[in-house]
Amino acid sequence: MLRKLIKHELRATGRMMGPMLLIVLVAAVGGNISTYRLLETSNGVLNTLGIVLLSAFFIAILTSGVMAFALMVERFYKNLLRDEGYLTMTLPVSVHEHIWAKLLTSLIWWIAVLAVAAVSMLILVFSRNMMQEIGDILAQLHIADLNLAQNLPHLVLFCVELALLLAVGGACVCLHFYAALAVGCSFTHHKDALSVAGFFVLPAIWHVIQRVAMFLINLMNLEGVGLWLQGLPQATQTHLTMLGVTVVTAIPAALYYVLTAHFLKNRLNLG
Amino acid sequence: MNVLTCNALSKAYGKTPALSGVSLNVESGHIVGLLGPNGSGKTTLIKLANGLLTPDDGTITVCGMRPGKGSHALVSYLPERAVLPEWMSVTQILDFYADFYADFNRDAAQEMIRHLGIEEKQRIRQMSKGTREKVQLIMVMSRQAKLYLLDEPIGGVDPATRDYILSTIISNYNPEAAVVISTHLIADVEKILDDVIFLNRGCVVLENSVDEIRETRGVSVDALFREVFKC
Repeated sequence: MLRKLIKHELRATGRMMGPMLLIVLVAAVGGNISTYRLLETSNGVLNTLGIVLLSAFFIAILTSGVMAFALMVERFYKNLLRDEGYLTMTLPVSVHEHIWAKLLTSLIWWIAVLAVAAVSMLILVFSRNMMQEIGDILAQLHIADLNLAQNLPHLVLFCVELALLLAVGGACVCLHFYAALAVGCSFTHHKDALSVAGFFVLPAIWHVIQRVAMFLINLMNLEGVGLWLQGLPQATQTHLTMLGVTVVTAIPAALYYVLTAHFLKNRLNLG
Repeated sequence: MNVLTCNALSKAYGKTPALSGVSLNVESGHIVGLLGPNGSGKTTLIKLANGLLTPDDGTITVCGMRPGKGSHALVSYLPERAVLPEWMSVTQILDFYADFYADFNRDAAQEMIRHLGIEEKQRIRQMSKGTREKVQLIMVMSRQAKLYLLDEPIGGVDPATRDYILSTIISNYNPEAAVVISTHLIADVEKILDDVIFLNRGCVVLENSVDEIRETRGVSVDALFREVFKC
């Protein structure tokens, strides 16, 4: 059922995100023409047009990010907690499947936005010289071949860790919104205002929990652990740090998830 | 067999009680009218049966299950408001129902859509209010559910549409299922009801079969309703 939920979620969001990402790519082509043609001439009109096209490109990238973010909130709120919720929340699927479908769809669009932004940047700066420059960079890498080969496993692992951290961080942001909406909309009156309040109160509660946890950790004698960490190779220290940051980011995400699931399952209040 | 069972069910909105200790049973094979004036708790009861609200006290079960994933597969629910996403086309809605409900009869739904002269590529936002309600009803009645919960299916529509809606319900529901129709337009639905439940201010004030009401009291359900809920 999760696969079907994601399919329909992508259909609902794709009708807006699809054209938006296409606009970004088209705007990148316009930006490229501006950079290498229009802004290179001495014609004032063409220069102005170049600036407009270049601005349109950056606005398009920004809008695609904002749209992915707004859709993440809007789909959860409108599709589960407002009128469409009468249809969605009576489907034979579990609350967990609903949350995962929304979460994964949001992450898919964020990844798509990042990928399109990267591709559009390449389109923007693409020129015949660029191929030459890439060739030069590759040649330099070839010189540093030995060093690169030694560090490649660490580099790959670091990239995987960074991707994992970004995914967990993105999920945490989504779940923060979901939890605030699920809690706020469980009340009979002032649902929207209470959702906004929940958005600020929940991280404050998490902050208090963090402080208490840090206080308790400080009470423990962890000097030995610190020394052990310092004795590790630089690369291992980096990997452990990345892992630690990911775990610390995952804890509030897990708490927000539990809260969202609890309120959707036991305190649903569609008015 | 009891399809819907409520036991001392209570629900309040803030300090305002909507249902107070409601106990009732709905058996399979019956069409039941859930009747009462506005604000009597009809919609609240149906929402509780669908798990869209949680009870403050008491229990509600559908085929022995608490409202949730399992019961949703057995209940076909028509809300009192338009809930189909406006951007969807009829084809997309058919896909949606076919994907999630194993008991959805796509052919029957398409036949009814064709009969109404609606194009499958037409989007909900392009339809009139009456047509939207008909499409929503068609989707709900194209399922072979164990329990149909129809909340105000004929409220706010013209008499011709009312007739269409009632005939669609009668000709499409699963005869082994139970149908609960919530309404305050008694005269229109009386002819299709087997049993009635009168709700007033969140309490059950009468639970009886239509035949028995006519035989013992010598009045129609509509006349009895007017007598019971006289202002």
